[in-house]
Amino acid sequence: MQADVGTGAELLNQSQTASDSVNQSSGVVAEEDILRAQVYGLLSRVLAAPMSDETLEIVRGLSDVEDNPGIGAAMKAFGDVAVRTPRGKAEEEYSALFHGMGSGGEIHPYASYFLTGFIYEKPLADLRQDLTELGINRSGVSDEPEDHIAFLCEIMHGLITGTFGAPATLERQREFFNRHMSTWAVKVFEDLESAKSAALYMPVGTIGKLFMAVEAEAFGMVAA
Amino acid sequence: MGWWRLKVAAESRVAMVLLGDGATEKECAMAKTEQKSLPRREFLKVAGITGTAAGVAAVSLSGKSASAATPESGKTAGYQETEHVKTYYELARF
Repeated sequence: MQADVGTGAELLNQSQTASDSVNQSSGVVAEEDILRAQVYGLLSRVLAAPMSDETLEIVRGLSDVEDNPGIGAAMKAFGDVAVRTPRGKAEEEYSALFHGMGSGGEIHPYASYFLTGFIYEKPLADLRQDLTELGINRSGVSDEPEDHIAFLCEIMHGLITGTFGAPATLERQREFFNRHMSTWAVKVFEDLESAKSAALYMPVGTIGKLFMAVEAEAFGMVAA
Repeated sequence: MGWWRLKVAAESRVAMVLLGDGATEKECAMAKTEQKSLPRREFLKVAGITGTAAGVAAVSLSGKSASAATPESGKTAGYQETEHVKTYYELARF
């Protein structure tokens, strides 16, 4: 089934330049960058929708991750709690966190809402402009705003791996991250980590919080 | 001429230090060309992302995702719609 769903976006052109983290002749993305993309992929997958049986099963597999301090430990914790969580419970928790009863959940993971208190404010407008410049456009199938944290994580995943054409340069990744994520993403993950309803999603908050800090610091090392 | 050689020598040493004593000349040469991004790579490794590789790989390979940004050309096999995702978008609609 082709995308065109929800906050779906589509590629307008494929003219992005190759990254200096990419071997230009072979198009191979550096190992660390693949790993970054995978963390973004994980966050996107578990935040965009309640976990399917398949997703939950895969997340349970994270309990085998090396128990390194930091992100590794948080991944393992995520896997461990997933082992104890049936899918129905996971879905209830997702709803309580992100949908709630009628008036919305505990967390509003939209850049615009998070930063301004309103859903269609400047942060969303700025994002839309940059998505257009990047050649990524709304599919128009859903009214869901693009500044949802899961969507942004997916964009980062796509920029790194080249889902939208050639992999984006680190500079371009940094620009996107700094403009659309660095001001609020850490906070939304902190909120998720300490949310009242969060059990399964608490380690997701931790992973996101730590990873956003790692990203910010690593982008600081990219020569300007 | 003189300063240029000195600079190259200095860069080689940096590469040696980063790669450890066992680094071959070839590795040093490779490191030199990648020098701009080396500290960042080292940092990402130290930051613990690498330790999570195996588990996370499984997640994102099949996790092409939910919010679904896809090229117009349909080159990316990408997104697989499930009942849950459909439900999500119905619920999430304002």
